[in-house]
Amino acid sequence: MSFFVQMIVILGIVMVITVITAITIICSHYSNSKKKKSGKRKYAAKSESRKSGRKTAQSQKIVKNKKTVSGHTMLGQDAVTSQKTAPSQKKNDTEGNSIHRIEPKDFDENDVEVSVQNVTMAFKKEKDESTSLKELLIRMAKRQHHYEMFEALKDISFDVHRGEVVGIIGTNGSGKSTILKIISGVLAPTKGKVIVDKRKIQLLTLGTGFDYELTGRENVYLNGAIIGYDKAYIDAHYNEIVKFAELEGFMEEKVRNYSSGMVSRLAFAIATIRDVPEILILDEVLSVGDMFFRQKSEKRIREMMHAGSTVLIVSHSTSVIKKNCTKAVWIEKGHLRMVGKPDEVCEAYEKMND
Amino acid sequence: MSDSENRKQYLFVIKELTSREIKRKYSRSKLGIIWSVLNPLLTMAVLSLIFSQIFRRSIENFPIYYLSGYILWQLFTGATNAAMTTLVDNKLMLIKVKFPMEIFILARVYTALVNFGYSLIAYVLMLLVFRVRLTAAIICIPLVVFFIMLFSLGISYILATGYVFFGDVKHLYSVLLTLWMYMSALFYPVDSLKGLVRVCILNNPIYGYVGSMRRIVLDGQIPTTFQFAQMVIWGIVVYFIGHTLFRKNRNAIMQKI
Repeated sequence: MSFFVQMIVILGIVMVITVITAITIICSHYSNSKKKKSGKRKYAAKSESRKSGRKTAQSQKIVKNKKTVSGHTMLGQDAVTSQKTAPSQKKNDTEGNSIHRIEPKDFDENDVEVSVQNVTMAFKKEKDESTSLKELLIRMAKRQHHYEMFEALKDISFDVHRGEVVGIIGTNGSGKSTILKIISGVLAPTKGKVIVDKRKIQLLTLGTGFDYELTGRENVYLNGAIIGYDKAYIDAHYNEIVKFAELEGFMEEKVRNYSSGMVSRLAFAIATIRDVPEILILDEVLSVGDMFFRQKSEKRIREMMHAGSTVLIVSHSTSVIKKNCTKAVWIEKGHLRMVGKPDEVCEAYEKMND
Repeated sequence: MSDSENRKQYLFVIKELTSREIKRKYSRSKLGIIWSVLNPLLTMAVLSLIFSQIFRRSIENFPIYYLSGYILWQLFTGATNAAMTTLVDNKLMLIKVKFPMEIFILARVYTALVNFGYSLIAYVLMLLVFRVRLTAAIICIPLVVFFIMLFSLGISYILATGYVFFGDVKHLYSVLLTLWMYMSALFYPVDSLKGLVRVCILNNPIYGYVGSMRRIVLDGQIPTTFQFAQMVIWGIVVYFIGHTLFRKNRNAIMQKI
């Protein structure tokens, strides 16, 4: 038995060591979050100076739409937004030579469904990020912490009214998906706020939440549950979903054996089966499936628009936006470049790419 | 949506996630769900075969002595190991959800509980084979299971939070678990130990649960007051520590993911 005792004593020592390392991890985590704040301040100053430097170059390009015809007078005290745009934008309004106006025809100013107000999102980027504990300990010992604040979004403001279909365009990595995540409440913005009823939102991104080892039927239930349907609802609408996705006869098959088009069809069908999802967010979804399914899904979106849903679409494809949207938002490298009619925004966007 | 409706929906989600975990575990095998019972049964058979030859002199009815600890240990490790990685595994789903992230952790812990249920079937078979006479004290078993679940849940919250930031936690934890297993007196009698080690083992939360389970099954008696206190306090305290830690880091977790 003495061997046993020895072994256990040794293991006990190991335990103490592991506990100590665990504590250091936690401590370092908290010290990181403190440093984050100071880093942010520094960056803010930097971006401020940069902004002013570039203003002259940009002022020509930037077109602002915030001055709606009746907007300023109609705004009640409970209706937030429009006026509260960032100071830099106000300057742009005065400097910019062409001011674009949205047709306010169908939309009541009080009917703002999503209001994005001065949202800034900063990520803490660790220079050559260390995910291993050894590196972390070494750095902690040397007291070296290299952080860089990376701002994915800078001072973005726009409103979405009930029943609008808003397209968000921008090149890769310019923060489109980030703004969707902030709107849907997955991420909390660093600065600014988003006013929206989060329970109404339905986010649809490609192939998310599908388990490839399960059958199509099981995935419908799993995904439906996650989206927020209850069992009775899925039972009642199951056939409808299958029919829309055109997957009759495939539902008992594992999703592993599906083609990518089939997966996204099913995802689209599940997400849009609800009678009126009040706010639907589509992340690069409309450009999948074959031509016929695309037409079908576009039709579905138009139906939902008529039923009063608000739709936000993120896409690289300007044709998708021109065809489906009533308003377009162009975000470039985290800056809001343009808000306005889809045609005009897309045109400007395409020009930039030339 | 009202609170009760929300709760109902959460339960449905947990149920779906759990059924997914169980289905996919044996999804490529022919026997499928039967493995859930067969696997622990075979393992137990092998273990009892081995351990009825070794150690038999020091402990009466050693296979059951070991298995009582073993199933609880499996419950604990199954729950914590699975829950640790759940946030990273389900990162795509997390973006879509409208309910608290805790659901994913709860689902994995609940999965472990369901697996424990299957193991329990095998365990009861073993009890029959070794002719263990049960007494009314078995009504305490649900209590033991409940508090070990609470304890596992607390640990799971801590681990899941840690794992999001440091992948190392996983490897560290597997080492820690080995150590913990030896410290939990799963397959040797505590009476033979002395000094510091004995104190450590007696105050080990897992040993509290394992000890209670043994007392219920082997001695046919309800756990002592000390054991009860140990179970309840460890369960509740660890749960609250884990939960607060998780709550505080929510936003940071989302950003990291």
